[in-house]
Amino acid sequence: MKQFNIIALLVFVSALVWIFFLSPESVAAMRSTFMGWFSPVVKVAGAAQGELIEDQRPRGEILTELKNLKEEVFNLRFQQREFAQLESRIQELRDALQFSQDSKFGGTIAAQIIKRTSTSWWSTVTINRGKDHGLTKDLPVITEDYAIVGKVIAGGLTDTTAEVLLLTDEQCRVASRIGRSASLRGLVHGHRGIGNLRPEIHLTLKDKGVTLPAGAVVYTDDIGAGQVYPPGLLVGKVVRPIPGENVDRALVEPLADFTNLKLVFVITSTGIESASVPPTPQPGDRP
Amino acid sequence: MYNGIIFVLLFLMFCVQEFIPRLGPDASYAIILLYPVWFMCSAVTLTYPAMLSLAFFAGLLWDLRYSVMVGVGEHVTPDIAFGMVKGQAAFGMGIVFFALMGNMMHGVRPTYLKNRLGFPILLTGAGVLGFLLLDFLFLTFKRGSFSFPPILGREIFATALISMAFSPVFYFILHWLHKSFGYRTRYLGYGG
Repeated sequence: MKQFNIIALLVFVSALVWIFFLSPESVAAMRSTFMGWFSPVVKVAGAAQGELIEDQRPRGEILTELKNLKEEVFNLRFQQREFAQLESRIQELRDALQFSQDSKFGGTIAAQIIKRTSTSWWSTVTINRGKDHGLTKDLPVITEDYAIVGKVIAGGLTDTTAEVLLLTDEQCRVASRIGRSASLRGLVHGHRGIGNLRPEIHLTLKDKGVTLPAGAVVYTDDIGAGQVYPPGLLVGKVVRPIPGENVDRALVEPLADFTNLKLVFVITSTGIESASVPPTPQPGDRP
Repeated sequence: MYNGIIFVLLFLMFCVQEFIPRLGPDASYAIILLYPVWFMCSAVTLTYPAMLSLAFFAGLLWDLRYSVMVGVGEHVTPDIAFGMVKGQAAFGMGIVFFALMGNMMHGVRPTYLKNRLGFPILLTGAGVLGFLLLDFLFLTFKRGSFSFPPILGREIFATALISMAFSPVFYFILHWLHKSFGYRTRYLGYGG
């Protein structure tokens, strides 16, 4: 082998070793900077993919929709004048809604999903809220029905966007309790690699030999101060138990509809003491 | 100049990759991986040091975009609460995988130089298959338990097969670039 090739190989290996020895914080900061710079491409790609899906419909259907939309625009312009008069009233209602939100959590931010990651084993989505909106790493993300979607991950956070690790990913683990009973506890996690394809999650029970009724609702558990997910949020419903050799597991259907997820809420502040459990929501509740 | 164009096109392919959605159930939910395929096709044409630089650049971009950092922070995660802390995918493994693919492709330069593209094309498909398997198996190794659902196997195989279908187009583009920039791929034997 030529001398020049050996030098190139040595330089390559040295650079690789340097990369491997970077601290997780440095890597997260590096990734965050890169994603901040790359996020316009991610946003455009997300929008383009949405357009591609729309374009697959027959031309006649699109033209009909265009006609309907034109009519709707006309009606909306007319209604806009009335809405202007009702603006002050809407503001009052907004304040009331904010109050309602604050009564359960200290603060929530509505966010739209702008991109789903398909080229990775990880189940993540990108939302249109970031550091500028007060988002930080590890903030829990829920649906309007109080069902868990996932959490904001370090490294994927930019000024205007954030990456959310979905509940269907194996690495998104949620301490849970089953039903209202605090005695049945376990850990909910997704599948490895196929979280993007099959929205199923597993519940690994803490104790063995426990009978789990199908249809039992799984909630987030209280595991102490500093936990990521506030206790009492909806996780899913038990589909069937899966007995294992050392641990009992159950297949759980998430209550968040991951295939049609568009709008989510990031809980920026739980507004509750760690020891207290908020009123348990039921499937169908809205914040 | 030619090397620079290859780097620029690789980055362009990285951006294009972002626009490619996952295919439907008929195609086993495959993903068209243009980025690794472009890397492998260009790796054949480059000198060894240039190929290593390209592998480093390609792997770094891949890891920056697709490696996820979980558990970096001061929060008490359920893993800690239940004593189930497991390893993360190491940042930098993408560079290793790309370097492996690049070395593999560099080995078929004599075939490429004789304009016999059949084997390099097949090797590109095998490279994508190997890349995905290695990536997934490394993740499995780090997490400590083995799981490989059949649906995943089908997805990986379909991804490799469909991605491989794009390599003849890429070889054609590279051939055109050779002509345009007067670049000559040379094989200098074992040390080349």
